[in-house]
Amino acid sequence: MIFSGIELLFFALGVLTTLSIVAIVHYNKKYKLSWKIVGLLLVSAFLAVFAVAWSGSSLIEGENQAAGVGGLFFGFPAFIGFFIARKRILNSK
Amino acid sequence: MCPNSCKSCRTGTIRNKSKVTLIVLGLLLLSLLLGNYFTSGDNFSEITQKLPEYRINPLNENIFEYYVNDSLMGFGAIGQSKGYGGPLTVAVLASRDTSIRQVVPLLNTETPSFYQKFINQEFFKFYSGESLYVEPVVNAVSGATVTSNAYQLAVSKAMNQLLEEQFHKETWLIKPKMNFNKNEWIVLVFMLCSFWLFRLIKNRKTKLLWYLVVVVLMGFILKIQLSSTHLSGLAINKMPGLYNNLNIWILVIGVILGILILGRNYYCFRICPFHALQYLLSQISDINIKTGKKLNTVLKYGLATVVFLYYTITFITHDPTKALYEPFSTLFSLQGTGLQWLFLILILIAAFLIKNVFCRFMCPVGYSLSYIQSLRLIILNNIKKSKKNDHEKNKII
Repeated sequence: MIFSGIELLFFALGVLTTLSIVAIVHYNKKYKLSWKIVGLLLVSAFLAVFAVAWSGSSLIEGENQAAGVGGLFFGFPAFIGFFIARKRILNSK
Repeated sequence: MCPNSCKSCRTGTIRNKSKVTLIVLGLLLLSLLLGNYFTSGDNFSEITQKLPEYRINPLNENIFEYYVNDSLMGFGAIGQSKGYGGPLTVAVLASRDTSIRQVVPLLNTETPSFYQKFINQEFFKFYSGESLYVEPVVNAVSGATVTSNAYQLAVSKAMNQLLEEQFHKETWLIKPKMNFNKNEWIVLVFMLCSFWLFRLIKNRKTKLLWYLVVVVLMGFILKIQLSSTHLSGLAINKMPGLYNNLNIWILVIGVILGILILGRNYYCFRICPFHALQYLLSQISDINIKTGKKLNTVLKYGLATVVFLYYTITFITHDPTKALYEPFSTLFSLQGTGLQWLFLILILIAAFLIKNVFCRFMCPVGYSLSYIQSLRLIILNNIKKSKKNDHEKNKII
């Protein structure tokens, strides 16, 4: 078998990382973000990518428990981080 | 529906509601009776199913002998105890020289995630080869301590039964003592706070601090949360053991007495860790997507149906975990199957966007407690009515 799943995961991680960096740069230019918001966005993006990597690889290995804990401890804070950043950006507009 | 919502129509609606409440109660009682009829379980047939290589010959209610090709291999006993989810049973198979050959778990009503963790650790293999005369020292599985202790007690009980009834030797099992430790004190303090102190909390910051303490202490550290397994367990006698889980008993009895005597639910919105977490999330997001009136009604009827189905299945199967869908143990014990994790994450995201989404539209515990409240109201109203009628009759006389 050519694809075992891990290739797709790494491809998705690459796409996600690129997209998040492009999005942060784009919004930084558009809204002239403060360093605090950029920092928050970067940390959230890193957590989101990390959560996808952790949970994805755990699922491929058949470890649902680890995937769930990864999603909860890395994915959910990333979601909250993005949300707070969005709120701050909208407030500062 | 009456456009003026006149008094007679309102009284009619209330009467219809109380009728529905009583019909539901009747159906639940019926399923409880059906469950009692169908689940008079036979432990020996379960042992035969699990160990097809042996021929089981019961000697009395709990003791049996087992054969392979008509040659007696040894004796076995069935031991019972109560874990976190209710009763659990094991069969201990000893060889003729009084050493343990095998321990087989039979019935259990533990939360599936806890039980899975337990089985993964191959807990029962530690008993193989141990002597019946000595109390075995087996380490509890971390994260499933209550279940481990309950299984240890069940195995010890079975071993002692074998010693006493089959080998006619002295037993070593000491009866467990009820301990009122720091966990019990913490639950008691939380209960008292929810009765009196919570009313004084008006300030937003103090409320945030209170809910944070509830999430961390009650949720993640003590893992004490009222679950529908406890409420249904009361009805089918499958509550966790009193000796090992005194804190849960304090919580359950305290909350129910609060409703029956004072008519108020002192658990939901006060000391429930899952509600506290939802409150904190909604405070972070500061968003509350309004659900329309129609959707609200549909979701509330949906919840009523789901809760009714949960209790019906539980009462018929006598297994409180069969239809359990609460995400509490997945979150606070970090144990769950793939689907449970997915459900939990979706709930948390929804709680971020809609205030108290789980409490309002999905929580079986909150719904059950409000049902008990409405039953209390119906009973009180009927008593008042009959008193009033008596008074009027006396006046006429």
